[in-house]
Amino acid sequence: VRVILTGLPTSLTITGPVAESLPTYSGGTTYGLGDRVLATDGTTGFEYIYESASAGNTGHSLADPAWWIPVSAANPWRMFDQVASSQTTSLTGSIFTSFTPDQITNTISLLNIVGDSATVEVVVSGSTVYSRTISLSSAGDGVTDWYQYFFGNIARRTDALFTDLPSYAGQQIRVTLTGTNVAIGTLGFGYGYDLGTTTELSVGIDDYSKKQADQFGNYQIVQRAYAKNGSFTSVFPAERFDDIAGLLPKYRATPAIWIGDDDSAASYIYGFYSSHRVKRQDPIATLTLDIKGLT
Amino acid sequence: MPSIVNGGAFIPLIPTAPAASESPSSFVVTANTFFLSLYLMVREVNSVLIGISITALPAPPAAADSGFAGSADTFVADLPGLVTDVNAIISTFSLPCSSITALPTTPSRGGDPVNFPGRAAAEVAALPTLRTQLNAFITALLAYNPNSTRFDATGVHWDSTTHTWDAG
Repeated sequence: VRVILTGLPTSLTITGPVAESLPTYSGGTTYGLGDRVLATDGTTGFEYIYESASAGNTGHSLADPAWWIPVSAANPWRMFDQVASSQTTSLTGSIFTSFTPDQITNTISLLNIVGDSATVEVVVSGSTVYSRTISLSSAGDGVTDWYQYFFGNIARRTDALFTDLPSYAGQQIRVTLTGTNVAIGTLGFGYGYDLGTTTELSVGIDDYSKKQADQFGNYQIVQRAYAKNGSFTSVFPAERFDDIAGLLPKYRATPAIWIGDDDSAASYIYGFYSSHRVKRQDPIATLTLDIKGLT
Repeated sequence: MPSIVNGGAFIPLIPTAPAASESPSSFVVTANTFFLSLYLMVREVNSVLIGISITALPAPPAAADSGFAGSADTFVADLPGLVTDVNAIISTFSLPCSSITALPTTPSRGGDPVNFPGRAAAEVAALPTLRTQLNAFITALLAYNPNSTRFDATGVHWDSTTHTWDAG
């Protein structure tokens, strides 16, 4: 089990995603009901989309919920919002992201992605010190004969994890997602804190789709977002009991990337823990985590 | 100059090609035999050629091979080369058979998933024709035998010292 408290990128460059074709917010403009604008967050530098909640909207602060509804991050920055299901997309080819992390970073996680391959590079003083590419094709998974080869369904892996980045000071990280129609839901980076060896994991989803039967028993189904959830159990030397038991409260109510098993993308969850228990039984200790994912 | 030696080598004909209409279990058996036969055919044909050859096919993946899809991708990707090389042999020796019809763009499970179903279907559909044309090629090649009556009748001379053909 591993947890990554993802940071904020600095010196951020994103190329590939389609820019939003919306006007930038202006305090002197009068907006009608449903009009949308772009505005840049002063802290992160990300652009966000806001929708006017009323007609005759002039000079009102974007932070005023009576006049403006925050819709989402603008397309290029959606990979850094706290919504796993919203994606930065490119319909024309690769997405290239370059940034300097604001914390020690040895792990990169790419969640809810679409593409052919994902490459992570670490550049220090102009020299590439790390480069690794992961193919996102799961086309060979489970194919053991010619019938499955020709007629079996093809899927793509939707998550990729890089856990072996060198931690240089001042490192520049470059992430390239290649393909034709490329998308990325969450680009997480930070220090991958090892929480022990996984002994048991279960994963599932909470589905927020609407399924309602009418008086005749016919269902009206509206597909909505879903969130992953999971339960992980790990073991670690009892000497780390205080270390891990003391760490987890710091992660409470904080979105982080939880990795149940490095080799199982299904166990990568962007969310928070709803409960945890650390049990010491010398010479080992056991951690049990219940994770709630974000939509 | 390219030549054929030991023209009497035993090169078995290619058995039935797999068809999309087969049941999955039947398809697997037919395809295993078919692709293995292509692989063996290349080796046998190359064994009777000097100065010209078919680019060797890799061994087709075995059933339950954990890397099946990757090996199959490689094998299928090499089939157009087989067609090209066989056509060169047909042309070089003016064998009395039709050229092999070019295969459609080969599928690859590692490629864009959008393209795969159509290419896979086209590839499977082309296999019976490939089989028929390869068998005609094998038959023509075997008939091109320095010890056969057909050879004697054509008047082409086989030099058993240099192991080459001349026009007699």
